[in-house]
Formats: sequence, C-alpha cells, structure tokens
Amino acid sequence: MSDPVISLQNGFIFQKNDTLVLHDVNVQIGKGEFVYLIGRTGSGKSSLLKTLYGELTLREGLGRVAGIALHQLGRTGIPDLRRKLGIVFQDFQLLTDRSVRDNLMFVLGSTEWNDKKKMDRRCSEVLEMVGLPTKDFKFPHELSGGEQQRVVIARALLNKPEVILADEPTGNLDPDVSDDIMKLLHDISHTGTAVLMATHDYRLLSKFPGRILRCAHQEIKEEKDFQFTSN
Amino acid sequence: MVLFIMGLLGSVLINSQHITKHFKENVMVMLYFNKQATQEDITKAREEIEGMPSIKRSVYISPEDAAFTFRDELGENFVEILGDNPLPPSMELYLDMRAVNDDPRSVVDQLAEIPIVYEVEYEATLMDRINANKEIITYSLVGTAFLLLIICVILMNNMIRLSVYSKRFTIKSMQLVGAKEWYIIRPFVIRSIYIALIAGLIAALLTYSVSIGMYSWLYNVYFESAGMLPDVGEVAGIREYSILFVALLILGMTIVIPVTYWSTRRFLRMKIDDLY
Repeated sequence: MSDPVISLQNGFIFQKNDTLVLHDVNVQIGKGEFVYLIGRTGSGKSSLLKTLYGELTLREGLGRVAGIALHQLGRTGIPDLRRKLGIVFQDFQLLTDRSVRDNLMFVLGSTEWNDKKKMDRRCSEVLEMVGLPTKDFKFPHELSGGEQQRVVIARALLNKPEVILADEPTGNLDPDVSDDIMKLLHDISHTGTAVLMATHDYRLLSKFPGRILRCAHQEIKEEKDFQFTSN
Repeated sequence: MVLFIMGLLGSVLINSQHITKHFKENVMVMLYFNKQATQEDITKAREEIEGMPSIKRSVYISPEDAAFTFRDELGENFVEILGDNPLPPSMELYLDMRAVNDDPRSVVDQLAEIPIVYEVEYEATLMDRINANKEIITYSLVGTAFLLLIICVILMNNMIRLSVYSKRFTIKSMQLVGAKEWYIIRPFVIRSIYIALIAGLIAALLTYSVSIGMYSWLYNVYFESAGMLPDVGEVAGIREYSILFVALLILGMTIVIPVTYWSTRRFLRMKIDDLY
C-alpha cells in the first residue's frame, strides 16, 4: 500500500466519559479505498470516527489522518485536520439558516478561499457531481433527506479531501435513496478519495463491495468473508 | 431596556447637577457698606468686587433704593418719620458655582476685608445643606447606577447566551467543516454590535423624550410659580445628553462584545454530545 491516508497503531479509543471502547486498534486505509465499519450500536464505530476527525482525543497509540498526527493534535490543529477531510453525518449537520449554496460558500469562506468567482465555480462543480446542479438556492428544509445528504457529500467534497468519513450516511434514508448515495460515495472513492463509512445497513455491503472492518469486543478486526444474513 | 434605565439615571444625574447649580447660583450674599463710605470709595469697591472671579453677578442697591423697597414693604415712609435714611448702601452678590463649591466662607472673608465693607451676610446653612445634599444625591445615584450596571451585565449575558445557545448546533456544524474559532465567532459579535447600536439608539431617544417630558411636567405642575427650578431649556443641555448617549452606546458595546465572544466560545469548546 502506498502511503496510507488513515493509519492507527495500537490506538486506544475512549468515549468522552473515559470509557474505553476499542483497544489496540491497528488500521491502515490507502488512497481510494472504500472501507465499511460495522458493528453493534455502542461497539465504538462512531467513537473511532470521532477520534479520526478530532472530536475525541487519541490518548494512546499513534494515529495519522491525511498526513496529520492525531496523537499530537491540539485544539488549534483541529480545523486544519477537518479541512483535509470530508465528513458526512447521519443527521446531515447542514446550516439550516441558509441556502445550499451559502452552506457550501460558508465552508469555502472558512477554509480561506478568497476569490468569489472560484468559490462559485467550485460550488457548482460539487453540486453537479452529486447531481443537484439546480438546487443551490433551496434551504435545507426544502430538500428531501436524500437531497440533503447529497448536499452534505457535496460539502465534504469542496476541498478535495483525501478521505471522507461517513457516519451512517444512509441511516435516515429509504433503500432506494440509500443506494443512490452509496453509488455516489463509491464513485467518489474511484476518483482516489478514500471512504470510511460506518453503517448498520448490511444489505449495502453485498451490493457495493468494499473492505470491511468489524468492531466487536473492544477490538477491530478485518472481516474477510462477510455473509449477508437478513437478521 | 436596561440601557434605557441607565440613560434615565444619567439624565437624572445631569439634571440634578443643573438644579443644584441653579440653587447655588441663586445663593445670595448681602454685602453692606459703611454708611460713612464716600460714593467714590463705593464705586472703587464695586469695581473690585465685580471683578472677582467668584462673583457671578451683582446688584448694587443704593440707600435710596433700599429705602424705597423697605417703604413698599412697610407701607410707611420711615425716612420721613426718622428724618434720616438709616439704611447703608449694599450689594446683592450671586456667587459663582465653583466658588461656592470650594469654600464660600473664604469668599465671604475676602469680601469682609474690603475696608469700607461693614458687614457680609450669607446663609451658611443653606449653602452647607446644598453641598451636603448634592453629595448624598450624587452618591446614591452613582450607587444605583452601579447596581443597575451589574443587573445590566447579567441580563445581557443571559440574553446573549440564550441566542447563542439557540445556534449551538449551527456553531458545531461550522466547526465540523473546519472553520476556525474566530471565523465562527465573528458574525455573532458583529450581530451583537449591530443590536447594541440599535438598542443604544432607542434607549437614547427614550431617555431624552422621557426625561424632558418628566421635567416639563414637574416644572409646570409644581415649581413654576415658586420659581424654584431652572428653565427646561437650561437643564436639557444637548451637549451633555450627547455625551450621555455616546456613553450609553459605548456601555452597550463594552458589555456585548466580550459576552458574545465568551458565550460563543463556550459552545465551541463543547463536545457534540454535551450539546444535547
């Protein structure tokens, strides 16, 4: 594997209340890989993702995401880390007080883009990529769940991230829309952006194959022969 | 609202100063010359007295004028009865406020030292009372203002925190997409400044109209006939009010900016799970 975009060595993942959820995590994810993170609720999937985007501190072990060392990450370094990532949430986390375009413009503005024309062009590009070229003037509440999630993905793509972290991006969506979103994320991974996605929707795993990491018993293990059973 | 109350208080302070000034300037010192003093000496002394910086204005009363007034009051021509006018030439002196504040007695002593001056009379108790009252009024106003200021800070703090609190998820979302602290805080601070400006302006207008209204009412209803209060125009100095209003605006800003900054920052430092 060329330089991994995500690497954790002997990482210990704690929840914010100091509960240890995963220990001795050793994970490497390379450029353009599509990786699923599965496991029961409370098994540490979200905590792992939060650690990767700096919301939780990596207190033990070594970690590196998009070239930034997590174990040395201070509060002021967090914005820099997040600019190199795209984050997609189950609950979208769009700014509800402004239009789609303004949501995207906010990200560009906050990540030190200055040229208004370039900013506009980049917004149009990412909206085009997610299939929403004409919805830029709408407010988040005027969009369907699937459309909002597309906007979130568009937002994640703005700064051409090396990796997208997705925390159950299809959790609030119906199966057809989920498939569309998955296809979109898969296509993105083919352009060289790694995608790490936590999910409960095992149906997707067989439909859109990828590497699978399972969180269980405070450990993360690579799942080689995943069998989908409708439990 | 709080700014408005502060403004009213400031207005009372300004007015009370005007009123005490008015009272003080109307404190009269009576100065009697020796009956034997020649007209020439009196003229010289008058020039000297009128040139003193502590005398605001003076009225010279010749023995004839005094007799005239006295006769009007008594209803009898006592000069004729007595065959002589016993009244000395005198002066009504109105003191300058600053002299009164410093030490009226020194002015009186100074006047008494003039050779042809026979006697200087002034109402010491009235002056002392004015001075004492002024201090009490000023201190109690400043004390109330200070209390109000504390209430003001607490109220504004609560209001701002509430409004920032309602935006806490937006703040978090901004943070999750990689915005730096100041980039997130800045719009909140700018908005607060804008609101503080408008609030200050409204408070200023309200203060001005309410205090002028109140004063004219007081003036017309209670004091006009007694002539105890200075004119409305004299009290409501535009310059002083402008200073008061600028002070209100600055006060609003100095409370609002740090409070907004800290409230927003508080949410920035929180973990997502603590927001719910």
